[in-house]
Amino acid sequence: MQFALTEEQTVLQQTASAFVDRYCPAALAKTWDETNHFPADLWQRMADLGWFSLPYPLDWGGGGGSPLEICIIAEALAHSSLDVAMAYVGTFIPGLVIYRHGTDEQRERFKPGLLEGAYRIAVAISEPDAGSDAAALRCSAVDAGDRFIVNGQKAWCTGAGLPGALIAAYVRTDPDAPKHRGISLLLIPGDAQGVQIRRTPTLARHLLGTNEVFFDDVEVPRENLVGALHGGFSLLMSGLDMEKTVMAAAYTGVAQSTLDEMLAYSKERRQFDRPIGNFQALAHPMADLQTEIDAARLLAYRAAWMISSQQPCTREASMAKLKGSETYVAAARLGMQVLAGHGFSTESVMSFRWRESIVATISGGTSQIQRNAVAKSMGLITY
Amino acid sequence: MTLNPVETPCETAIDLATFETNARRFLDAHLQPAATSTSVWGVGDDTMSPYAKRTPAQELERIERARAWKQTEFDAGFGWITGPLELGGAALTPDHARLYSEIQNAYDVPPTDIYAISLGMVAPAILQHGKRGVVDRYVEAMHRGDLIGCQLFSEPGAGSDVASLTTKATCDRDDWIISGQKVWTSGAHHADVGLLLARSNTDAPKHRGITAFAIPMSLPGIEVRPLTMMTGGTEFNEVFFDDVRLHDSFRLGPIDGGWGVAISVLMNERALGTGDAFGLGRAVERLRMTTAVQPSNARNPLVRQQLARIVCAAECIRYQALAADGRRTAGLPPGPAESVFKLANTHALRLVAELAGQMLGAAAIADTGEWGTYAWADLILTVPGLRVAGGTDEVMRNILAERVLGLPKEPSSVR
Ligand SMILES: Cc1cc2nc3c(=O)[nH]c(=O)nc-3n(C[C@H](O)[C@H](O)[C@H](O)COP(=O)(O)OP(=O)(O)OC[C@H]3O[C@@H](n4cnc5c(N)ncnc54)[C@H](O)[C@@H]3O)c2cc1C
Ligand SMILES: Cc1cc2nc3c(=O)[nH]c(=O)nc-3n(C[C@H](O)[C@H](O)[C@H](O)COP(=O)(O)OP(=O)(O)OC[C@H]3O[C@@H](n4cnc5c(N)ncnc54)[C@H](O)[C@@H]3O)c2cc1C
Repeated sequence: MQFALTEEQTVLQQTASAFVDRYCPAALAKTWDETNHFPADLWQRMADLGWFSLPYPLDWGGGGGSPLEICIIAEALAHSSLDVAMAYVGTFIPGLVIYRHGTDEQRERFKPGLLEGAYRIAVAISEPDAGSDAAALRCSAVDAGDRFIVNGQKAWCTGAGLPGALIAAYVRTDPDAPKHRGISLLLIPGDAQGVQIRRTPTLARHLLGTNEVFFDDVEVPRENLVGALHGGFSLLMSGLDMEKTVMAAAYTGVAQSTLDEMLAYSKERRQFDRPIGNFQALAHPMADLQTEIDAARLLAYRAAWMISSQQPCTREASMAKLKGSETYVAAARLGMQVLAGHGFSTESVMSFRWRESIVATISGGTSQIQRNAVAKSMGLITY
Repeated sequence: MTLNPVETPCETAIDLATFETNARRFLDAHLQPAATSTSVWGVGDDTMSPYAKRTPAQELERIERARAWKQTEFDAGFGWITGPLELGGAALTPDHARLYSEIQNAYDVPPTDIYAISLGMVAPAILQHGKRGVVDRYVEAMHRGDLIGCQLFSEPGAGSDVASLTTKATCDRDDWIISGQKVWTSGAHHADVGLLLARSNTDAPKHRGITAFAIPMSLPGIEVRPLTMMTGGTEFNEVFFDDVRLHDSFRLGPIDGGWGVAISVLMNERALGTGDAFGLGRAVERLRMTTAVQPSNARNPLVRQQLARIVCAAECIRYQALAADGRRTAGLPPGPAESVFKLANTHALRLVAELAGQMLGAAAIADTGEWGTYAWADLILTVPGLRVAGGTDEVMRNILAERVLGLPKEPSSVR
C-alpha cells in the first residue's frame, strides 16, 4: 500500500496552495461571498495553469490528469472556500458529460471552451418538487423536429445567472415512459429567448449564486441535445461518482482549513493565563476533528484511485461525500465554539465557514441519499 | 440600597384567583390570543430568532412595540409584579408573577427580548448594589420600559476570563475616569445605561481589583460601534470609553468589590435561561408543525424518532425550569445548577435546528419565499451564538463539574 503522493502530485499540490495564498485567501473568498462577487479573473488564472483541461485526455488536447490529481486541486482550492472549489469542479464535471456523451460535432464545437474553462455550465436537474428524487423532474421539452420547445421551472441552479452561462438542463421528453426513461439533456444558453433567471437568496455560495430558472416556450436547436433522446438519466448518473469524489476532496480541504484556522486562534488566544487550545475541552475535540479529516481524506483518495483503476465505486464515492461533507459541518461547528464571540461576528472567517458548511450535507445529494447508496451496497433497500 | 422584592410583600396582597381574573381581563383588553400566530402553519410572523437580520427601521419599530407594551403592562400593575411599591412595583409574590407569565403564554405578546438583559441583569444589580439616587433614576424607568440597560463585561481580551478585564477606572476625587474597550455588548446601541465592570486596582489580584458601575450611555467619551452578527443582525456592539468622567454615586457595591456584583449578575443571567427564555418551547412547536406539513418527513422513522427525542428533552427542561422556579419561590437564590438550563436549552435548540435543516433540505438555507422554511436559517445561524453568549458550553460544564459535582478545579497557575 502506497500513501505518498508522487513528486508531480506534490508539486501540483504546492502550486495549488500557493495559488490560494496569492489569489484567493479565505478572507478574500469571504468578501466575495458577502458582496455576491464573481471573480472572473480567478477563472482565467486557473485556465492559464491548464487546470480546466486537466480532466480531459491528452489525445483530445487535455491535460490527462488522474482523478487523484483533480482531487488534489479541488482540495487545495477549498482552503479558500468550498464555493471557490465548487466553481472549479462545477466547470469540468458537466464538461466531461459533453465530452463523453456528445456527438463528434458537439465535442468539436465545445472543445475550446471546455479546455479553457470558458463555459460556465450550470447544471439544472432539481425542481421545486424534484430534489433527492431527481427522476421525478417535470420540466418538459416537446420534440418539434429540428428543435425542442422547453417549458417549466428549475430550482437551485448554481451559476445560471453568470454572464455566458450555458444551462445543462435535464428535461422530460417522454412523459409517458417510466420516470427514469423519459429524460433528456439539453444545452440551453442562459440568454436564450424565454429563459428567465431569478436569484434565490441563500445563506452562502454567493460566488456562483443559486437560481430559479424559468423556461417559457424556449426553442432549443436539436444539435444541443446531448446523448440519446430519453437517455438523459444515465448521463445524469454517469458523472456522479467522479463528482462526489472530487467534492469529497474539496470538503476535506475546507474542513482542514477550518481546523487550521481554529487551531491558530486557539494557540494565540489566551484566557485564564493560558492559550485556550491547552484546555482539554478544546484540545480533544480538535484532535478528534483532525482524525475525522484524515479519515475523510483517505476515503476521497481511495474513491479517486478506484475511478482511475476503473473499478465501480458508487459505494466508496458515497462514503467519501458523506464523510467529507459531515466533517466540514462538524469542523465549522467546533470552529464557532473555539472562536466564541469573535466567531459569531461577521468579521471572522469562521462565521463564513459556518454559513457555508450548512449546505454541504444537502447539495450534491443529501447525507441521507449517500447513506441509502451505502446501505444498498450492503443489500439493504431502504426506499 | 436593599429593597429585596421577596421580603417586602404588599400587606394588601390580592389572592391568586382575583389576580388571575384581573390579569386575564387586562390581557384580553390589549392582546390577541396566541393561537393566531404561534401554532397555525402559515399564519403570522415566522421569524425564529431575536438576532434575525432587520433593517434599522424594522429594529426601531420592534423596540417601539416592545416599549409600548412594557409601558401599558407596567401602568396596569403587571410590569413588575414582585417589585416594591415605592418603585412602581405591585409588591406581590413570585407565585403571582409566575401565574401571570403562564397566563400570558396564551397571548400574542410583542417580543420584548430587548429588555431581557436590562431587566434580568442590569436592573437587579442596580437595585441590589446601587445608591438611592441611582436606583431612583433607573430601576422604575427600566421596569416600565422607558430605559434600556446593557451589560458591559466582555472585552477583546477578557471573555470567559472576564476577571482579566483591563478597562480602567481611575479615581479622581468624587469622580472616576473610565478608559478602555468592551465588545459584543448586546443592545448597547439602544441602551440608556450600562452595567460596567472596570479595573480600579491594578496591584490587587485580578478578582479583587474590579469595581462595578451603572454608567449613562450618553456620557461624553462613550462611542458605540455596531458589529454585525453572523445572522446579519446588528444586536451587538463594540463600546469605547475615552476618558469618560463618572461620578462616584454611580458606583455599584464597594470599591474593588465589583467581582461580587459580577457574580450576582452572572447568576441572574443563568437564571434567565429558565422558563422559555431561549424560545425552546416555541421552536419545538414550530418543528412539530414543520414535520406535520411534509408528509415524507412525517412518515420517515428517523425523523420521527429524533423529533420524539427532542420533545422529551424539551419536556425535561420545562420541568427542571418549573422546579427552579419553585426553588426561587422558596427564596433560594439561583445557584450553579442554573447552568444546566443554559446548556440543556442550547443543546436542544441545536438539535431542533439540525433536524429542521435536514428535513427541509435546500429550503432551509435558500429563500423560496415559502412561509416557515427559510426562517429556520436564522435559528441555524443563531445557535452557535447561544452556545457562547452568557458563558460558553465549556465554561458552563466547568461550573457544573466544579461547583455542582464537586470535582477538583482544573489545574491552573492562577485560578
Ligand atoms: C446551494 C445549493 C446549490 C445547489 N445547486 C444545484 C445545482 O446546481 N443543480 C441542481 O440541479 N440542484 C442543485 N441543488 C439542489 C440539490 O441537489 C438539492 O437540494 C438536493 O438534491 C436535495 O433536494 P431538496 O432540497 O429538494 O430536498 P428533498 O429531496 O426534499 O429532501 C428533504 C429531506 O428528505 C430527505 N430524503 C429525501 N429522500 C429520501 C430518501 N429516499 N431516504 C431518506 N431521506 C430522504 C433528504 O435527505 C432531506 O433530508 C443545490 C442546492 C443548494 C442548497
Ligand atoms: C450573541 C452574543 C451576545 C453577547 N452579549 C454580551 C453582552 O451583552 N455583554 C457582554 O459583556 N458580553 C456579551 N457577549 C460576550 C460573551 O459573554 C463572550 O463571548 C463569552 O463569555 C465568551 O468569551 P469569548 O468570546 O472571549 O471566548 P473565549 O473566552 O476566548 O473562549 C474561547 C474558547 O475557549 C474556551 N474556554 C475558555 N476558557 C475555558 C476553560 N477554562 N475551560 C475550557 N474551555 C475554555 C471557550 O469555551 C471557547 O470555546 C455576547 C456574546 C455573544 C456571542
